[in-house]
Amino acid sequence: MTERRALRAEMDDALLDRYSRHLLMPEIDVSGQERLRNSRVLIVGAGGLGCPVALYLGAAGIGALTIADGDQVEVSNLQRQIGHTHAELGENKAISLRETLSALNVDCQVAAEARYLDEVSLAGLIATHDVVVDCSDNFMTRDLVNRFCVQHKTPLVSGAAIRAEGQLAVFDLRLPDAPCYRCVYPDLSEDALGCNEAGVLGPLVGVIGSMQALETVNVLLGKIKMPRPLLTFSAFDGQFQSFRLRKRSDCVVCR
Amino acid sequence: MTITLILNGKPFQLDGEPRIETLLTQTATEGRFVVALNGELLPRTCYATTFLQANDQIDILFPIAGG
Repeated sequence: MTERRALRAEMDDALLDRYSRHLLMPEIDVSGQERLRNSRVLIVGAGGLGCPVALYLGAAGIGALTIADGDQVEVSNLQRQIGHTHAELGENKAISLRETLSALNVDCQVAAEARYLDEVSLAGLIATHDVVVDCSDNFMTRDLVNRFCVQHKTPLVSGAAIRAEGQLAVFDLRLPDAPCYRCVYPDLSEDALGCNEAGVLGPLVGVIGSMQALETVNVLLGKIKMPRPLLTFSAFDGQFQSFRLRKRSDCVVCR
Repeated sequence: MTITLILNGKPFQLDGEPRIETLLTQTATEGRFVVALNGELLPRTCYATTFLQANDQIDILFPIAGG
């Protein structure tokens, strides 16, 4: 959406077969699938959320995925980070996930940014992708990702999970009255526990990550007409709750 | 005065002036929380000015960063 790109060649019979369960749905059809195939999605973080996000988006036929992560795969990740295996212990997570995706769908072009991105690189990537999916594990990154998404009017699909609690929010920053991440959480000092200290229930990241992938498809297909509420999920209670959001006139990022 | 609210899904007796600020003091809520009243997140400036009624649903949310 931010830069003009040459359209990819139309789907051949093998691809029509691959995506047939999408094509059967009148809400998607060939035109919707071509839209997905000509989209670029940036996934920030290749951990518990990034794995299901990348696997579902790659399988669903997003044309180009960029996966950014500077971490290496550790054995304690394998309880929930389903895009990595024992064979990839010690490997960079973005590269490991790219390998997994290349075995799943060669129609999806995957780029790995196997490093911690500086601000200039992150801003450049956000400017050249259609949607950003925040799967990161710290507030500093979340704040930066949000700032650049606001600046470039790039839709942001934000997910987070810790212990047995998950949160999901979609910020379609192309819309004039869209709230941003900082409208929801004005105070983002870095004192929260990470998964290393607090723990996280394995399948919970699958729930939140799958919903991030789903909302990304919804954004790309133009299915989101109204601002989405913030969704919270309590894994032990099996309960979802939703909270209406508003753009804040005093937001330090998007006012 | 005392009113009964629904705080994070459970009944809660609020004593004193029925404002969000009172509730936050009474529950010793600290940190980077945000407050939702009947399903809508409120700006911080409303904590002192918004009066609560019996059976209002209050949720206190915290940002989480785990990925």
